[in-house]
Amino acid sequence: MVRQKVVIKNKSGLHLRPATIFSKIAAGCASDIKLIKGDKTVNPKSILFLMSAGVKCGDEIELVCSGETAHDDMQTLIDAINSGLGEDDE
Amino acid sequence: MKKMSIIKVNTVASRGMAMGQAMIFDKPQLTASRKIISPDKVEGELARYRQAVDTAVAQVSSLSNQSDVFAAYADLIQDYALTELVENNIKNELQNCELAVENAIRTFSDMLAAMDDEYMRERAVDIRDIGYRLLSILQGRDVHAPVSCAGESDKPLIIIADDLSPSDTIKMDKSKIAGFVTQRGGITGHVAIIARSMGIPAFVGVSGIMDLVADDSSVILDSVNGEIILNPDEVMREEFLGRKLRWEEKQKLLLHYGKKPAFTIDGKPVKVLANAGCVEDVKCAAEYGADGIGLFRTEFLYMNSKHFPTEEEQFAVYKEAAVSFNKEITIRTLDIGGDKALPYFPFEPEENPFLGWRAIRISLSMQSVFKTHLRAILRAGFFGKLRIMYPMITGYEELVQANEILEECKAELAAEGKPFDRDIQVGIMIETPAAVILAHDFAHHVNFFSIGTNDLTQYILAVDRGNRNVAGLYNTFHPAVLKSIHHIIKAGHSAGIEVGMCGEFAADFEATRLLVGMGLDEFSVAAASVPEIKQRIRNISVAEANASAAELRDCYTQKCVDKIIADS
Repeated sequence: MVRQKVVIKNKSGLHLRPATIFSKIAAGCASDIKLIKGDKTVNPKSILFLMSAGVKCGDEIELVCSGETAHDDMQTLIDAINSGLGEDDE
Repeated sequence: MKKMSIIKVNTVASRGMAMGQAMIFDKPQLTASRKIISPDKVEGELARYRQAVDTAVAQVSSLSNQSDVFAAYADLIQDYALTELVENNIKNELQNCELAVENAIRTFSDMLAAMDDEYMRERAVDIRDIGYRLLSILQGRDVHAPVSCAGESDKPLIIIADDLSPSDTIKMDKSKIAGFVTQRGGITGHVAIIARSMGIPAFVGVSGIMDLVADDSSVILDSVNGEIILNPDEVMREEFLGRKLRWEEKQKLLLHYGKKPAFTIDGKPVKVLANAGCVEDVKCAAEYGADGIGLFRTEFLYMNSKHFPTEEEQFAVYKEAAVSFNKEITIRTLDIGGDKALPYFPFEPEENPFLGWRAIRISLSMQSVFKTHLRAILRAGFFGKLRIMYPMITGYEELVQANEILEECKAELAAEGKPFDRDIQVGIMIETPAAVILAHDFAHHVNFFSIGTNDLTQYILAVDRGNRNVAGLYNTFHPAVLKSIHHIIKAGHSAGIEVGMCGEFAADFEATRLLVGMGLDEFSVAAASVPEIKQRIRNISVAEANASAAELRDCYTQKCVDKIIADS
């Protein structure tokens, strides 16, 4: 199991469009993934659950991956977040 | 002819002036035939669901070239959690496909509707829109049947609806629509977005409007006055058409003059910024073409609250300001005092509130409140170009103390690992005689000056303009005030920092030329005045304006000042 904290940087946070992109990437990972924000834990493979976490720009979230490909999957997810999830951060 | 009535509206989601014929958009409610199935039907229902999903995805994909919200719909329809819940409802709860979809959609739309974020609440509309589409497909209805336009008349239509989803508006003939009024919805909702993109007015959250308007009745939407006028009489129609025309002329002018930067005749760029008292003002400033926000007042956060606003509450507001206007925004730290009471913090009554416990003096003596304030600004600075400005500075020690607290906040945020703007610029308002006299010294210790002419005038001239007997003595054109302004600008420039002005004087047409002559770098005025001040600057020659400012040196009478102003 791999855990990592990361700060969401794209400006609208996990709004519909970025949540869609992120959940597609998460769905492509073989690991079981959890996204933890505050006292909420959601499965980021669903756009709806992801949006329900209400993640805003500047929020810190924690990702937990478990499974054989946990390390690689974590890197994929972190890279996606750091790339701004389709939003230019000017 | 029905009686004319006027409805005041609170939420203008898109500005504009329109007159047209009401069209009530009332779509049929779809309800699932509630049915519990026998276990041998499960496979069949699952197959029907997958078929409906495929059809829905194909439908929205074909619409995605018209509006990119439909691209996201394709993903939402196939969402992992939605699919899982529908399939679970069919397999384990033995619900038929329609009921399973209806229940799952309700679960997720309720989940989003309960969130405390307006944007996310609006997404509940999208979820219901998808549910409506799936149910239509399952019941064999055509969700894309075009909306019949009442009477097929050529008059522009004002659409009246409970709420409108992307699937509703996509099938409307946009060329006929002049405005929208909805009972639900907010300023981040679909109606708001589509109306703004079409450049037509939209009022949202107008509860009960569907009961007040009849199909085909005449409706006026006036965003300037924030009114809906039902069944306007002939006089009102005439008057409105005049107002509409003037508004449109003004919009054209604004667009023409406002957006472009202002250069003097001889090519010197001068920045014209806007003052703002809330986030809406910031958005408005962007529309008027302001070069930034020269004064963002933070008082509203404190006055409209029941408690000292928390760091998160303030952060959300400053961040929204920062991201909604990608230009420099100068945030003035709390400027309250004995003349403005806070509902949750009574100030002791003072004999002389303007000489009393106010502005930076309060901040320095209530450090936890000040730190909350600064931390929120620092964090929001990460998302845009924010600057901090301290009001009412009289002595160097106040600046040092405020900056020490600012550094403490930075150290705390760094230790907590929260992102913030480490290099945020810090400036001061020059609005007290003490700060004017020490301006050369202050200039070496701050990043910018901003001249607050309202307080500066009253302090230099010792005049309370709220006092009728002396209000006539309040005069920013007084030679002592003008010389103070000139002194401040020169002091700033000698240390290489920019000097702005955010008081009412910055918007005074008669002063513009003299101020440009003195070398003022930034004018910060009400958003609506930005285009006009820019236009004024474009007709000024710096060389001539400098000469006027130089004349001021030997000038000590009002008559002499008046002559300089009259000649300019």
